[in-house]
Amino acid sequence: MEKLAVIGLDTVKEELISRLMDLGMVEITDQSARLAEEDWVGLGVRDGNEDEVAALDAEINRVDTAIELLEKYSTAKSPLFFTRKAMKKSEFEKIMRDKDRISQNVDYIMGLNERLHSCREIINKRNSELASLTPWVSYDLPLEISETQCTRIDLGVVPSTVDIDGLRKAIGDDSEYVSLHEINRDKDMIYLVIISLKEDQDAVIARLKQWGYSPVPFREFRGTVTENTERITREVAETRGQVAEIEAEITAHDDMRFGMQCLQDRLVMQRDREKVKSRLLKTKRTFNLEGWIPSECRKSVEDVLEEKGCCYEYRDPEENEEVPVLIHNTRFGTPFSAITEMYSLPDYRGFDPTDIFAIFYALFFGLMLSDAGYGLVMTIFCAVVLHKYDLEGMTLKMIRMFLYCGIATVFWGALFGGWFGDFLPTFTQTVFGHKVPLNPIWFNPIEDPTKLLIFSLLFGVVHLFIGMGINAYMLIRRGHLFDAFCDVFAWYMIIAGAGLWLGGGSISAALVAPGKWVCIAGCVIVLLTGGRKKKGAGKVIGGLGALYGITGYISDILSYARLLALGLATGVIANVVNLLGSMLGTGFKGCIAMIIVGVIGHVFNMAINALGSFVHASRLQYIEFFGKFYEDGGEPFDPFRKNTKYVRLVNDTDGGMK
Amino acid sequence: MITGNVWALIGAAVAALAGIGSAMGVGIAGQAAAGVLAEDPKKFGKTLILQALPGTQGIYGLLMAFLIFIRIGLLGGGMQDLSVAQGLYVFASALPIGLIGIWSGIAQGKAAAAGIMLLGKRPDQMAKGIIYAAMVETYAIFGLLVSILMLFNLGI
Repeated sequence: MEKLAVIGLDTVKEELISRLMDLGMVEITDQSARLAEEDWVGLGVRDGNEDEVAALDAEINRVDTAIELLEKYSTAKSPLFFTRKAMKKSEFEKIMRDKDRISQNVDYIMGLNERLHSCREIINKRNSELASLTPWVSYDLPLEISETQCTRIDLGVVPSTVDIDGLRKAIGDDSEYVSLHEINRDKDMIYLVIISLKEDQDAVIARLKQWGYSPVPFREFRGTVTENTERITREVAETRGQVAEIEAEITAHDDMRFGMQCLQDRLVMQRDREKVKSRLLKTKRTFNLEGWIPSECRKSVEDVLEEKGCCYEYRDPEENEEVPVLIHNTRFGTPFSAITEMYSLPDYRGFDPTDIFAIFYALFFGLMLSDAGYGLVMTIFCAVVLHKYDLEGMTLKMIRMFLYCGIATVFWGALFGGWFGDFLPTFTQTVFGHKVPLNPIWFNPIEDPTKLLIFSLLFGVVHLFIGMGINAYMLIRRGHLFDAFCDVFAWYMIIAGAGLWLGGGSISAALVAPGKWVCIAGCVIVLLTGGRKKKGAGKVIGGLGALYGITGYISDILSYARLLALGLATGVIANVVNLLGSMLGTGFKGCIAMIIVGVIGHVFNMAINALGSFVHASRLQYIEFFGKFYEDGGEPFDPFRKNTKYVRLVNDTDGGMK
Repeated sequence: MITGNVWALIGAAVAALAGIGSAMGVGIAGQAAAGVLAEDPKKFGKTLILQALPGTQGIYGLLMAFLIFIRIGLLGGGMQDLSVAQGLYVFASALPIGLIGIWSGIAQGKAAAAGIMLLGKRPDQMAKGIIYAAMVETYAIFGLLVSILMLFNLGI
């Protein structure tokens, strides 16, 4: 990474910004902090037009809503993987010539959206009216009649706990001429009609209120309750019909979607160009731009800058500067950078281990899934997806990674003789009554798990040693040779020595004694040097503390036992699936049963174990491997580029990333 | 009288009890998943992955039970006659995964539920939520490993 500083004339600014966007190689940094510096005060001001950005944002939101609406009612099947459509720039420009028409389409769809909303509102309102009227259906006076010449008619409710006879009696005490009808009753309420003399009304209502009465006015209705409910039901049905019509209309206009997506992308690019200006500084006629640029990209950017007649210079990052990180891996390693990115990018001054752990990741994954049949299915699936879809970014990396992992799974599966478990032997035994054995190339871990356990732990030791080796490399590169010796090489001696001391006897008895002495020597070094950075008594205790770190190494190594356990789990469950299938019959019946049970069981087993393998292969990198050396916390390099969602404009570079 | 075979079958049953942990764990995670889904139904697939994580203990228990069945020849009809000591060996081998499975399943369910909450707020951080839940699983795997090693080295 290098820091690029550019000064140019205002007249070329717009063009330069679009060219840089095309290149997608420069991360333009915000410079407003500069303005506070003494040299800059009065010299320049911050560039950018926030109103313009806000207006574009509003427009983007509008188009987005329209696209979402079209998507929601679209009958077109959405693909398994979403991909951006690759498109030539000239083609894109051609579509954009119809910008006004597309914009009208957006208006049209938004109009439909509004109608849809108002229809839904009407339906909601009518439905709530219906709900309030329903309890009153047996009340057969027109609702607009609230009084006769001498009486008043009141409708209202009391809680269902009220004793109606008691209430009647209480009212009877107040007024002789009151008629109280119970219309309906449900869980919560009793629905009442009260007819009283006009002069008594206030007293009656006051009395009723003491009993928890609340009036239910129906002022806005004309006609009887039944008439009203019929009318409202009809209206709701009509409005529902309208909604369906509008929805059908939206569905019918699904062809507008692509144009809108192009418009959306165009607006986003326009907005980004406008927005990035706020990171520049300007004087009356010039502008100043700064940004990070990967050293390999200098040439292409320089060409543009020369062409536009700008002054520019580069400088290396300063000691304490936050530099964005762009990791660069080999062809095999690149897909695995998805795993690194998921953790956190390495610090700019740290070490990117992706290329190193890639092979371990694939091998561990394969060892945990450990069934050649599953591996084959995975490999073929990934290969087909890669062939069929024009994937980008994280999805592309993941699918490629699983392709490699699938191949590793086939490798281990073949070594252990697992092809959908023991499908072939069981199948032939069940169907033909004659067992065709399928022998493993190496050995079957179900028969000898201890052997694979030892190999799993050995893999772990190799993996850990490499992680520690990277730590030593970093220490030496920074000039701490002695630290590398005490903190890494001494531990190499302890672990390797202990391994020989305890396990070397099974290979050759001559290995035990040297192993013992190497291990002890390592312990002594750690004991003597562990406290070297402490003071006083800490120097003595520090050594003991450092040696106690051996528990950490033991637990790290044991953690690799999961390679065996998960591998066995896959194999045994696959066998159980085959066994269950074979128990249902023999001959032709057995054949059908084994295939049906096999498809369901193996798909399930593969899915759950592939998930487990992915998770635990990642964990072994994150906790055991990264724990030994990794310095994380790098900010990802985010160049100024076309951040489009639907269309990928081709015949321009993409910044080497994403 | 309790024969060795009975002890061995009790062992298989104890191993299968790991399913209790998974059932509870998956349930806990499922509740959280439903909550997140209420906000954004598009996250169904992702929440399902996290919900599936505490399900493995039950599978390990099932696995161990089947291994015991195969070892003692229950499947296929020809069950061996085990001595009481042998039966108790088998029973002992089932204890680690059976017991660890129960509690680790519940604990993993809680971690997965937290991961689902994380997914609800920061979908880009989902992978880390998965790793947190997987940290718990390590101990169930160790339990399974001890069980398997015990069973396979019994010499039945």
